[in-house]
Amino acid sequence: MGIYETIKRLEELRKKLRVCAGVPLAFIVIQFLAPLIFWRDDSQRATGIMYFLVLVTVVLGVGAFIRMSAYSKEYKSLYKSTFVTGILGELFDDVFYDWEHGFTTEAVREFGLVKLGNRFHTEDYLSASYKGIHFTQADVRIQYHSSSGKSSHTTTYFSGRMFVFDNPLKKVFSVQVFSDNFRYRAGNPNGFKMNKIELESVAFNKAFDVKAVQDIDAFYMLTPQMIERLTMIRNQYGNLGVHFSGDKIFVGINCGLKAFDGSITRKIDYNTEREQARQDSLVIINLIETLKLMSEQM
Amino acid sequence: MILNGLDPISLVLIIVVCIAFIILFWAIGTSNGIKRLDLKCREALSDIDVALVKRHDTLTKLIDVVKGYAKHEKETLADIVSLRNGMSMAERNAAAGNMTDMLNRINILAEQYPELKSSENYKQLQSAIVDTEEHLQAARRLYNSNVNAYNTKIVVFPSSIIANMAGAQQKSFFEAEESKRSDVKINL
Repeated sequence: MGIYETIKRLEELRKKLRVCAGVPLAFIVIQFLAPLIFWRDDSQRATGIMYFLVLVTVVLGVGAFIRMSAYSKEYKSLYKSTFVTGILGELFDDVFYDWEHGFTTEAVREFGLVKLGNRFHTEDYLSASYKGIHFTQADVRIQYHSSSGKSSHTTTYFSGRMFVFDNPLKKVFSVQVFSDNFRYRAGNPNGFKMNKIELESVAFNKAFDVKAVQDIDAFYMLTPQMIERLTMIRNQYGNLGVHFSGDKIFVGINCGLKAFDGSITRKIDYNTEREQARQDSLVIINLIETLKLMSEQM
Repeated sequence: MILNGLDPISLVLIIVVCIAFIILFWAIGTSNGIKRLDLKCREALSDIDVALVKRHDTLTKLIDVVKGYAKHEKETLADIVSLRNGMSMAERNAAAGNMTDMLNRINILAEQYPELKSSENYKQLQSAIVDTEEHLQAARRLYNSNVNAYNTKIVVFPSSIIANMAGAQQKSFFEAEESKRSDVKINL
């Protein structure tokens, strides 16, 4: 399929997805309006019409849901192969990209960033290298759903992007750094007691919580330069969790960011979508360069 | 109900005893807190010693490599100060300064011997030196952070009362070597 046909197909799918997304909205509107229209009419005819409307919207809703799943899968597959794969190949080396899968729950547990709930969704797995630094990333959403008969409640523990970077220059046992607004933090990832660490910077201690198995590891990893870099990243992305462990750095940006997804509310434009994919990729480059993972003076 | 049956003198006595116990428990807690901080300072000091020993050993290996290339520079490559148990902070500072001076001399010497600079042994040891420097900086910062907490504890009121009774003295910080405080001269 040429690029013109691809974009045409993507537009068709986008419009169908918008229609499918509109059916539940129509259902809600009908359920709200019907009682208002027929509230004075107690006749069997009015009751019959209301039941008919409910039945029709339920059938349409189920049909829309089934079709939406199929359209969504085709849309995502086509979108990502058209706009994302090319950009990744331009910016990174040794690229492996699988949009349907992400990190496993066991892997996320080992990251030591956020606690696991009972609902887990992940996608857009990317493994690649940038200037010799190998990394992996994926979108992750972790929720905890509880229900007690009459009511149910869902708490989102994490919704955003997680990254794993190789850290060849410095190795520590375990140092966790969380921005003060990063909730639902993982406990001790290695089972060892973690000490709360206060560094020399009052502002940093206020904005971040630092824990480490060995105090000296925290001071070894969190040099004044690293403190400044983490502050910069926090200012850019808001909600940040970092875990230095062995020769890896695990980073979680918990602010609803999702990588490499097109919006069904805007018309498909080739340059705009490629630029969006590029911006999503630049987040990874920005993290590598801000943390100076390639530099001898980390 | 129990207190209703007591006379005022007994009541006052009970209150005084309660307050005395509260003060006693506070004094014990504060004293233990000061001792804990003292132990943390000693632990951090041992981390400095570990880092200094590692630096000393790596530097000794580097000197041996350099001697192999610069056979006529014996005066420049005099032995560095060895570390021993029970050194004071001033002695540690002096030993660290001595090692830094030696490292500077080696770097200057290496500029005159290109084959030394390009040897694999030299490069590996230079990387090891950088790593030991970073460990030493980390150990120094940790020690100073613990000393700061300890000094603050024994100086502020009311824990200073317990500290004075226990004879606690302020500890010295591990300071940067003099050569690193001075401006860097760049000759272009």
